[in-house]
Amino acid sequence: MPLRLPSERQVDPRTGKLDFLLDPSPEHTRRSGEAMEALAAVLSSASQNHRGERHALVISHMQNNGMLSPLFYGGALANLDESGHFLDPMSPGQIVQFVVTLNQPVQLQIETVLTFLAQLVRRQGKIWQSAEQRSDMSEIDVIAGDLDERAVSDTVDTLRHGWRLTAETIAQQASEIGIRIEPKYRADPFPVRESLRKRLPQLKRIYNTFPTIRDAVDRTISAMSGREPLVIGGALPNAQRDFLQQRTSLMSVTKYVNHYFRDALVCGNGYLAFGDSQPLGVSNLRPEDVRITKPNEFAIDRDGVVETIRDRVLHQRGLKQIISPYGLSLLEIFLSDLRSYDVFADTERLAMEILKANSAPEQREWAGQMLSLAKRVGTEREKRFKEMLPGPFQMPAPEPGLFFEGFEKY
Amino acid sequence: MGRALRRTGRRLAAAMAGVILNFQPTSSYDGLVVRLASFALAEYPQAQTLRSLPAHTLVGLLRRDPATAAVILGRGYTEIPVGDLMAVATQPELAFVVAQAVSNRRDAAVQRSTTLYQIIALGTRLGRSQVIPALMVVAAEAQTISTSEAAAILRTCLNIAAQRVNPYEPPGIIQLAKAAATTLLQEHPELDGEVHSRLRPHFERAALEVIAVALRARPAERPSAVIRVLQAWRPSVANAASFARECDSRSRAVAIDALRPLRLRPSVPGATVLARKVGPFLVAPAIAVISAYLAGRLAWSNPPFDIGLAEILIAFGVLITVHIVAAELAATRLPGVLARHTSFPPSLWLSYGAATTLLLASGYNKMHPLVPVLWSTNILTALLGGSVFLVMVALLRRTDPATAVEDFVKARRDFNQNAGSDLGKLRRQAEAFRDLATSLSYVRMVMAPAKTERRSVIEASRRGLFVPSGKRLVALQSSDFWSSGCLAINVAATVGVMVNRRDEIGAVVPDYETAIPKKELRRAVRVLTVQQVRDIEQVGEAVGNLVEILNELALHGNAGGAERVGQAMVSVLSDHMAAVRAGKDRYSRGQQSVAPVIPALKTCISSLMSALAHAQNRTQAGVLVEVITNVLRMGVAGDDAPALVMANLSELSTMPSAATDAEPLLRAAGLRCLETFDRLGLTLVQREIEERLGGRQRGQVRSSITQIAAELCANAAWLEYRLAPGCWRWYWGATQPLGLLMDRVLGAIRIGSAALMSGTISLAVDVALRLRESGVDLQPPRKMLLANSELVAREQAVSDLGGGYLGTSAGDALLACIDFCTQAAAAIA
Repeated sequence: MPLRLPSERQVDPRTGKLDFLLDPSPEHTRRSGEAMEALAAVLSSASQNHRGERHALVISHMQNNGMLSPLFYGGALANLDESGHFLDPMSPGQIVQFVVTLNQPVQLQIETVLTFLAQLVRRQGKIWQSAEQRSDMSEIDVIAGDLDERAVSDTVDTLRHGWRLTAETIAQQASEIGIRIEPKYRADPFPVRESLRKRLPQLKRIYNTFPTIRDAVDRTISAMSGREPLVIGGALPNAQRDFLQQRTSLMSVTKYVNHYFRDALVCGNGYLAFGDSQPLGVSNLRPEDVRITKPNEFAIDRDGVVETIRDRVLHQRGLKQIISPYGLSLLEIFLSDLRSYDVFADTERLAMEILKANSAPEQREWAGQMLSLAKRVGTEREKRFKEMLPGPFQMPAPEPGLFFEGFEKY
Repeated sequence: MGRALRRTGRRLAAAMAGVILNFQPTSSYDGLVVRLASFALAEYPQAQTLRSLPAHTLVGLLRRDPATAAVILGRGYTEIPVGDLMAVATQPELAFVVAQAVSNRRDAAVQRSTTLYQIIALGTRLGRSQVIPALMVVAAEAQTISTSEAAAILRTCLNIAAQRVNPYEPPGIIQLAKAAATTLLQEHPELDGEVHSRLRPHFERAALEVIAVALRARPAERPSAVIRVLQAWRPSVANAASFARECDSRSRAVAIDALRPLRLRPSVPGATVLARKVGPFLVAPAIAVISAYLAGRLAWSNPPFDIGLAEILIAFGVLITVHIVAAELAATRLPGVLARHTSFPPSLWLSYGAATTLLLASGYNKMHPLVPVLWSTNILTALLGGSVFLVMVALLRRTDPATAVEDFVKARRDFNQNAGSDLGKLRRQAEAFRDLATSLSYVRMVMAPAKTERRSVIEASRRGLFVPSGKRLVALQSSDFWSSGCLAINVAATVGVMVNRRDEIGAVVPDYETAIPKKELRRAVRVLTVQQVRDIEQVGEAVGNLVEILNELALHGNAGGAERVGQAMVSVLSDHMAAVRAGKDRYSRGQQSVAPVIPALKTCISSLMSALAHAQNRTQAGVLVEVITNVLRMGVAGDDAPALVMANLSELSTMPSAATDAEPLLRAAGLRCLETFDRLGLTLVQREIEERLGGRQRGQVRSSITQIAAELCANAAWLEYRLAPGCWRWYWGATQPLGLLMDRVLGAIRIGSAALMSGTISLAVDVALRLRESGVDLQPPRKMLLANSELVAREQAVSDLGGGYLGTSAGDALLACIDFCTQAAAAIA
């Protein structure tokens, strides 16, 4: 959210909104890529002058479709193993993945990456220090907030001397805590189907677990296609228009379209297949089964058996990637929240057991602190959800019966 | 024509395939048969699955038995019993063709009805594969099924429709059953009871969905059928609203095509100058040369007159005097741009050409006295006399301002179009620049110049449209100063709009350690260019002048003349705006963008509204309102004409007389917003109506405003389904201060009636619920409508003038609405 970066205060006077491109042009995309490559090169060359453990950083782009806050400039993506379990991105051999919002001005993109790196270095330094000293973690959320704030202030100060100098300063700070950053730019964070497929179970869990997120997604779908679409036929005779309008309603086209949009927003890709056997006979395709073989050509891939789809298929992406035909889930940026939710759910369970059992006073005190921390983190999480998805919460409450009976959740 | 030929070709192919199958029992021609059958089946997209079967499978089906071949080829099945035709459907690919063949057996309606009953309701035939084509036939031919069999089929269909749908499975029998049930209910209203019994005590969602959709196709008795459903179901308010929404027919009554759409007429550059100035001037020299040549060639004798230099100079003097008098006359009567045009007609250029040539010819004749040249001087003298006469006629003709305006508009058509095209192009460039600016790391778009940072200011060098150069902006990055972030350029966000000389349009901002090199500052200055757009401004000025003339004529009661001027002005605007749109589209990437209002349109509406504010009599106000309405009708969504009118109208509300005169504008602007789906404009119209309802005006004014507000919503039900519910809620909320005044209630009944007639049941139900919620007793208005024929006649007149939203019998429509509201309110919990 707002970081007070030098470039983030500019607004578009036509709309009164921040300088946010809803549909970035190919030219803007190209220049953004060049800028990120240049930044990676500067960081890489600055890191070479310092010592430390090598740690790979991949910077990628993500296009905000307008559902995420225009004040979201970028964020780190969660690392998952092949079976979909969370991994620590700072553990040896792992890669830190950072996505920048393509819709922002290029200068702001550069500043965003630099701020993220500054925060990462400070936080990591503190985590390692605390682990060594076995410090009290009950105030970790407050400490992390302070560290982030200081990192932003330092970055803003250094940016007055240009972003190159800022990048060199961050590389030096990283070396001081024993990290040698090895950045690389890759346009798309998840260019192939396999890398996206393993994330789907956790993404669906986000939708099922957090009512706030579910509400935001449902409100958006309701606003887009919650009500029966209006058939407008120009010079089409009224009889034909009315017939089509009736069929649209009877075939529950609205519900299929709602599932299509929900798959796009939650899983990153929604597919709607139109069969030839019936007028307006549509059905959804499971995102995990679909392989895009060529532009506008789709196949069902189940356990390695690939079957080309003959029907006409509509494909909707949640967030667009630059090169890959696959989309990204809108909820990607909330995977870290799910991870923290899981961690704190376990901690809370343990703390409750301690409190119920006849434990020692210091254990009871620890349990109380942990419960309080979990509550604070939970409140912060809810606040973050609402900040990141401001648009949907301005929309009316979702229409009842958006989805087919029995498919209200994943 | 092509379609008919293709259809005939397909029939021929089917016939040939049938002949080959009959006379060639061997497989030698199977390839040809498959091709012919595929070509014949291409008539139906639904038969695609059958066409895409492997060739040997298709041949196998064609050779299976005569009934199957007849069904696939779509011929020769009229003698086959319906049961046998249905038996062909042994696999899903054949379902459509079987349904098609059985549907076409109109001669065996009874037999078909029984067979369908047996297959669907009794399930006694071959199996499930026949149910799908049977349901398709029911959906197509429900009217031919007997009531008792239809009832049994409907029950089965409703049972199937109640099954759970998996969105990730292909659509199956459930959707077909719904379609069949809907058609049965459409054609057999007597079966509604089957659905009613499934609403209470055990509620079946699918049954409700089916009857709601079926009711869309039963317009005549839709309101009473809706009431029967509500009475059988007794739903909550939310459920009733949801059901009513499903019943909405969602028709739109907007015009399919405008009779005279705005379009850009082609123009040749320089044609006007050639036709009006250079051409007439060159006529005299051409005549002089031709006459001299002919006189020499044909050896004409001496001409009658010898024209001397003194006479010529006198003629020249007369001409100049006529010109000065004409210019004086035009300047005193007409505004600047028009006066210039009026005082210089083409005949004056002809006269000047004749006088100048005459002077030269006379001089030449003095030096070389020749008969042919003398003839030229004589002919030129006659031409001069004639042209001066033409000048006088033209000037006298233009003493009528309306005629002067029409001449002016005709002559300036190309100019207006070219200016519009330029404006469109510049706007597109400005939008492209905005896109580009965000993709460069050294550019910042700023809303206002920041005074708090060290910078070198860049000012506009002249007045004009601020359209910076994208190419030069990109070129800046060739220098390390810009690419490394040492220098940044701030660009004022006024890109694409007019700026004045010395306005701050940008700045170069160095970083902490950099001084700005002069060369880089010069390069930055060259980026921020201002385009001179005198032509574009002149169109606005001309429109302003035309409004001035129009207003003057209207003030003195010359309504006809004023309307002629108004038409001419609308024509200027129409040409100009069409050119702006065309110019912008030509350069656009196809994306819709927010653009400032066209200056000429803004000038036009501001001038007209200002004139209306100071109107001194009803004729003047009437003419002005008429012209503004024409301007509103001309605009399309995105021109913001209704928004401009409303912005100016709010100032008029302080002047009671003008406010009353301007009321028709509220209606016209509101209707235009509904026709063009202009949400912003509609909101402004509504705000203006609210303002007037707010209490400054009393009595008659308030009553007429309530009527306009109700008319707006009633028309919304017909014109724009998406805006209608919001419009109604706004009406009921905005008229809240009136309490339960009869005007307000009658307005609500009008809206409900229009909703019922247009098939917007959700709106009618909402009207019923709001009236119930407010405790409105509908019996007094009902009695009034029954007893007071004058009131009914007035309602009919009001409806007819407001767009005919109550149909041809306003009284019946209003009474039907009252009955509907009373019964709906009682049925909903």
